[in-house]
Amino acid sequence: MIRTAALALALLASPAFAGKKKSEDAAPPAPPAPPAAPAAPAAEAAPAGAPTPADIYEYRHQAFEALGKHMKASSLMAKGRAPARQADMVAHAQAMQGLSTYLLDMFPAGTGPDVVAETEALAEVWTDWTGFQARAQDFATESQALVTTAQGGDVAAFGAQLGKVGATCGACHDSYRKGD
Amino acid sequence: MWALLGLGLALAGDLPPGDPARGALLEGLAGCQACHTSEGGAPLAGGYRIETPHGDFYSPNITLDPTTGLGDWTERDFVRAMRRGRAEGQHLYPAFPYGSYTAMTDQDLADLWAWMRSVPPTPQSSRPHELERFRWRGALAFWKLLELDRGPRRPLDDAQLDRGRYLVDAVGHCGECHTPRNGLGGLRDRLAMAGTDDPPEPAPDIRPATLGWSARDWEDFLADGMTPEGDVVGGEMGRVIRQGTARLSAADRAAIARWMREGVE
Ligand code: HEC
Ligand code: HEC
Repeated sequence: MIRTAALALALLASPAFAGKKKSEDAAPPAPPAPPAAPAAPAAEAAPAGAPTPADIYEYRHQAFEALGKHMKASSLMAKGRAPARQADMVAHAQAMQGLSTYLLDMFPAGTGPDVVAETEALAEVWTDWTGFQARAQDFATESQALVTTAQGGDVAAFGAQLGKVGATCGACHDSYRKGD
Repeated sequence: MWALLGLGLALAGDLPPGDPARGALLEGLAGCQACHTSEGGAPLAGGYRIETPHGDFYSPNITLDPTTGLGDWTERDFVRAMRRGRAEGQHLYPAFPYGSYTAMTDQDLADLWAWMRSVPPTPQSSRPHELERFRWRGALAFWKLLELDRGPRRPLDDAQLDRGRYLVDAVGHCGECHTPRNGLGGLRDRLAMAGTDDPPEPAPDIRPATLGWSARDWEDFLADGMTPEGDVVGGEMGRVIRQGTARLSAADRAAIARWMREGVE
């Protein structure tokens, strides 16, 4: 009896600490849809076959890894651990801003966790496409501002703006990427 | 093992004078305001929902509002809640992570209490917890007996390692999210920081052998939330960085880094 009580009781300690709020998910009236799954191309147009969902995931994964490397390289400049030449800051910023222009296209319907086991993207990307779009737009806005700041050549301003870009990454990971 | 150092003194309620500004820094890492403030709500006025498989907890109002908050709480009441998980004669649920906070020093508790008193009182009633099970608080006594080691720990000889362990285990309560639990809900010391899949937010394995991070990798991460791969953490961890570790001194971040590399197995 005592043992059961203690055991049962103690279980309640388990995940309580990592607690977070339930999000209020009101369905938007007519949410825009994610890009359609890639259509099967005409046989002669695709000698190597159309990209499979796994291919699309692999590409997406590599593109985000590249984005991370640009972030990290930029942060080394901002911290004074790499020479902060204006042209280099601009190059990194443009690479990140460039990715923001096709980010949403890398998430066509049918490439979620139900289909591609490896993906860290949560199903919410597709079920809450409007919200995901908004996060992507934040990233596009801040990375565009990063290009402008980089062109100005001031490394302190570049570092500050880089922090804002990073915050948009974190905000999106918060809701649309697996925690581990 | 935990030692009962300082317990006699602090349970008697005689804390040294506290500094609210230092308390505000500590609370950022300890997450008090984050957990005791509802979205868009007044600071510390409670009502934040903590989802668990056993039901939803709602954090109480811990402003000094006389009717809905802590009102006439004394320093002694505060110490009793933080070190022993007791308030107004009742046992507190460990959804309030006092199992970690119990090891905070008298000085840090004094600073936290000074900070709490500097926050304006807000009248706002919290909601009762909506628990599917475990509604009887008396049973928490068993949990405490088995899992709660009260009071500050015996200091380590190496001052930097001691500081790192303190910031990680007592204030930062990193293990409350990153360490798997045993059948009694206690942290599994031998799997410290091994990660968990527990809902609502899984936390990764951050042991040194898994991460392979250098001291500088750690110090950078604690300052800006960016991993060596350029990944930026979000969610609860983003909050821990922004409000907690990013605001600490570089020396404190170095101490955490060293403990995470050398103190954790
Ligand atoms: C993960 C969420 C969480 C964090 C972090 C947290 N608390 Fe709490 N706290 C709670 C919950 C939930 C309760 C109510 C527990 C219960 O009902 O038994 C509580 C209860 C309390 C109480 C008792 C209030 C009363 O009326 O009985 C005090 C005092 C308190 N917390 C202070 C703090 C301080 C100070 C910190 C930071 C050092 C902190 N809390 C951090 C969730 C949290
Ligand atoms: C409230 C729960 C919580 C607390 C407290 C917490 N963490 Fe985390 N931590 C997480 C979650 C969730 C993630 C995954 C975040 C993500 O991937 O976006 C994470 C990620 C991390 C990572 C990144 C690992 C990687 O490879 O990406 C490190 C390192 C880390 N935490 C260290 C710490 C340290 C050190 C502390 C204490 C100062 C701490 N955490 C406290 C929940 C927490």
